[in-house]
Amino acid sequence: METLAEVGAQLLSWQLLLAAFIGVAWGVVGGALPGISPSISMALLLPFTYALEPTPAIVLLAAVYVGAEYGGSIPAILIRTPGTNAAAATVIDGYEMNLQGKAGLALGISLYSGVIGSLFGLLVLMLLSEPLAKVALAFTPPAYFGLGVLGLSIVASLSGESLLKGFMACLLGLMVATIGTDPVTGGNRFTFGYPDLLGGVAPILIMVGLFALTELFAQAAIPGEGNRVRSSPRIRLPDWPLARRLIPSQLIGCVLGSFEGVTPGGGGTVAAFISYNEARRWSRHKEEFGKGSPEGVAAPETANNVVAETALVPLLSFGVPGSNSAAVLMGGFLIHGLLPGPMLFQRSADVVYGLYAGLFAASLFQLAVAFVILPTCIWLVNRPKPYLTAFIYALVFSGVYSINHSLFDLGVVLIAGVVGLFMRLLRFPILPTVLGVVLGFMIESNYRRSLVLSGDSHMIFLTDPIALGLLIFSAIVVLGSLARHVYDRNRKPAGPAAAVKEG
Amino acid sequence: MPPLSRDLIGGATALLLAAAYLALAVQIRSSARDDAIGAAGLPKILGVAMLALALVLLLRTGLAWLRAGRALAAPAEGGQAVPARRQILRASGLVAIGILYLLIVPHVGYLPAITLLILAVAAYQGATPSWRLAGISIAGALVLWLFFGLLLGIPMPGGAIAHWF
Repeated sequence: METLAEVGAQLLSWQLLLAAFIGVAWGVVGGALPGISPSISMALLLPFTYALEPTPAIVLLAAVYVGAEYGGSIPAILIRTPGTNAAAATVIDGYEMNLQGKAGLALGISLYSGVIGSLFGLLVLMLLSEPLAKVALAFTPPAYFGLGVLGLSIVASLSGESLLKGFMACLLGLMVATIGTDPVTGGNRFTFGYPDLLGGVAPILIMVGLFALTELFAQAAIPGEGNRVRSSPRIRLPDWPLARRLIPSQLIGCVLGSFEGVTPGGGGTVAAFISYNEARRWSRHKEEFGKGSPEGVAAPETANNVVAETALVPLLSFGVPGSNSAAVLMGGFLIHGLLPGPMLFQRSADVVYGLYAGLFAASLFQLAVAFVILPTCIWLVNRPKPYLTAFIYALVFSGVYSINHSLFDLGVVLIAGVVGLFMRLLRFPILPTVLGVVLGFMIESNYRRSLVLSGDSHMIFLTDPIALGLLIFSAIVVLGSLARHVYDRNRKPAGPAAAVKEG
Repeated sequence: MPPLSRDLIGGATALLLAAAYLALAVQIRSSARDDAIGAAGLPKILGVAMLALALVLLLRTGLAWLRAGRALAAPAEGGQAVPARRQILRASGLVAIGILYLLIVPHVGYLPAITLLILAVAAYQGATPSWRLAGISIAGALVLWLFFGLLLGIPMPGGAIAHWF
């Protein structure tokens, strides 16, 4: 109660509110640009925080993070390009809704779910930091391995019409993830002498290639592909019946996002994919998933916006930045002589309360910013196809270049786009590949670290309760998906079943 | 493309990929710092798994082909092959424009190269060559340059031409 009163008092500061507004606006724009990650958006504003008081400075950076996590869904829905890694799962149903002329509704659902996710995440951050911090501490390499396997376990349900092809696509992603420096020995693998490959292939490059360029190539290759009903340039928030229908998927996103957020390195991408999968499992409208399901947008968007808030738990509680964005925020703290960690709450409680107040304001400001920006975005994607294709191509190339200022990255994205086109023509699903790329490094590095810790004994995965729980849950998810697949196939032998259409 | 051809090409491509990946994986040097798995451990497992799944896909396709009968499968494949080739050719044009951009941007710099990219892609996708198209291309390139180069301060490629001035 005392915390809420302090936060309420901070909300009267106009400097704080202004910082939150500017931060959200910048974050939404940055997140909406392919290649500009939340951490880059934050880092670009970092120099400006020198001139600010500590609280508005921290709020400015945190608000960028909140805005960017939401902003990533805009290109995911409008041009099949996730603006951030965490928005990859939103592509599946968001873009389908856009093709059906429901871009305004899809963006409205994403916005509404994002705000709910942000507010829920903030509540969790304020009230449950302490117990959740203990969860974060309990995550050891075996538990991270279990978390990675859990993420990978949804491959079976993202595989579409052929499980075999889904597993092959996933293996392709895992292969890409092995490129670069070996996580344990530091040796080079599959780098072919290119220094650009030493750090591995960034998942965002593969995502932009597989989603955005593949879509452009397919539109060029297949007549009629990408033709869609034009959307009205108005944002439509869900009406009450739809809002009620979205509640279960949003709850799933809230719960999973909370746990994923507090685990350093867990990240919004895994949370978004698992939430999507669970939302589908528990939905009464399973058949709509992959074909423009509103719940398919709500679940991942809620989850990744919860993560934007709960990812601050390890930073504020232990001074451990769990993500690149949290590391930039930590930089903001350090610039002002503040050391995140347990003592922060005692020495600079006003900054912490100010941060909470700023995050609250930022969550609500998302609505205002979105209502200003989104109609223009929808208008832009309603332009004639040749111009739209050309501008997306140029935007993708510009955005990708800005990640590492590297033309090599553009080559990687082009290759990923070509591979994606062939996968599409040969009916291999793309999402398992994305999951493999995102999770490959996490799974391998933590598996091997676990074995190093245990003296090469696999028993460590059985003796670590969190790892064991996650692995058992993964097995249940895989078996459940397989059983459903077999059931669907027997029921509808000729059709592609209720598969995820993601082309 | 008919399903059998699709799976045959997919299986064969995966088989080649797995073989190449495995060949490279076995060449990964072991290190004194190697753990029990080693740097080559996971790549070998992935390569073998891909090889096995590719063989299963090929085998499954072969069995389906036998079941369907050659007489049924052959005309369908022949009839559909041309559109599939055309599709790939159409997409190749867009890929080629992207490659050309990669080749020219270090020399001419970001602004001229991105203008040409927009112009070429729009024209390739059916926009009528006109002053309007040129204007839109220049305007689009300027917007991108203003945003990435000026506002975000990202050092976009200047190109060799920039060094002359």
